[in-house]
Amino acid sequence: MNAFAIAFNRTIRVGWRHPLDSLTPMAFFIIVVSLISITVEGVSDSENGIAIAVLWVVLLLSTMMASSGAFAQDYEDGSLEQLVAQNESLYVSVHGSVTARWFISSVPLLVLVPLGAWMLKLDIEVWWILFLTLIPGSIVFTLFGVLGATLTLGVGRNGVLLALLVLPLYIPVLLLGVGACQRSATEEPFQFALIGIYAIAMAAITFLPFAIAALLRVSQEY
Amino acid sequence: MTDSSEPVLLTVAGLLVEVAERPLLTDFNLKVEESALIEIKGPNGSGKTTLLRYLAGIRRAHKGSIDYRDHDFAYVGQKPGLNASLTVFENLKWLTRNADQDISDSNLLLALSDLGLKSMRDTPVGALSAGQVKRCGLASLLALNAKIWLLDEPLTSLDEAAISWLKVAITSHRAARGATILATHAGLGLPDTTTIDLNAS
Repeated sequence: MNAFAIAFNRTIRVGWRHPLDSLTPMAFFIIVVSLISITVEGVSDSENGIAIAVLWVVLLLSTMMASSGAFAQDYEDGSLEQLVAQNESLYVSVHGSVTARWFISSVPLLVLVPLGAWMLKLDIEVWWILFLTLIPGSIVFTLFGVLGATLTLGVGRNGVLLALLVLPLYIPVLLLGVGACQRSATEEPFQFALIGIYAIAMAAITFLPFAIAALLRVSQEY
Repeated sequence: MTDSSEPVLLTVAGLLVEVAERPLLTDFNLKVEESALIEIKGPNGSGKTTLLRYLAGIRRAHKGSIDYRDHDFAYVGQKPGLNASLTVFENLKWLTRNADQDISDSNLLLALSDLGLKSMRDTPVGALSAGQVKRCGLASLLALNAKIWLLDEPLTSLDEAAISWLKVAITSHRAARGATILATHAGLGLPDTTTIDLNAS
């Protein structure tokens, strides 16, 4: 097996034995969306704009919640030490681990999106563009979330710090994604925003694992 | 006739060992030959662990050089790198993932039964005692077949039986011309041991 498959496998296995790490963000997603659907006036009206924004923001927060613990356990139990000590390509391992993390935390959330869209009475014509943007969007969110988590390795309770560090990085993707969906809902051209979000996702997939790998090395220098 | 082409497995020259910008050792030199057993001693905070982390490449040397003959070592730290929610066997598979030869499962099982962990192969590491976790980390040594062993405080929380097992393992490792470097307070009391006292140097 290559380094990607090994890291992917390991992360999936560990995630599978800690189902609460995935279920908590899912519960959070459902709770927030359902509370908004029964309280915010106008969500259920014909305006799709609010529903789209709500889904995006809640997905962003849930993903942030899910990725906050990335590599924390490996840091504690010495696995990270072993990863750095073996003179292997950390970049590839990070790729495998982050991909697994996306499957564990983001895919269950994406599965919940139709439910949320239904609760917020989002027009069914908008669903496809919502998915088309949420998939690359959630990949970027996961990568930035893991980046933030590795930055705060060893700091201990890192929730608030993490939010402060990575939230600004989420903004461009959030605006592009919501913009594309809303423009599509009002039948305006949205191709630019769609291309933009895919371009950001491609760049993030290529370059962020370098940054994460470098941070993992730095975390061992203390 | 022994092959004496190049018996030096590891050369450390002029290494600067520092913790948080504070130098612990300014000019550390070491030559590790085949079959060597080197015990690094010194009081708490003298840099035993840090030195081993430099040798294992976990920390980057900013000054001085660390040259392996064929970059073939196994490192067992104080935290052996075992994930608590994975089983003993899964963890060992992961620890030995980069081994040169294909390590068959039976080879791993052999290492486990040597250490009395065979019945625990499917137990999550989180359910093991401290000594068993330590044993599990040491089991990876047997499966890895590396030329140099870097062991950080291997004796901590091991019982008598495990300590004598470790002595036997190191002795047969030396017989196979492998070298061992260990950071320890107590010392193993094996013959032909080179002791490096970090406080004296």
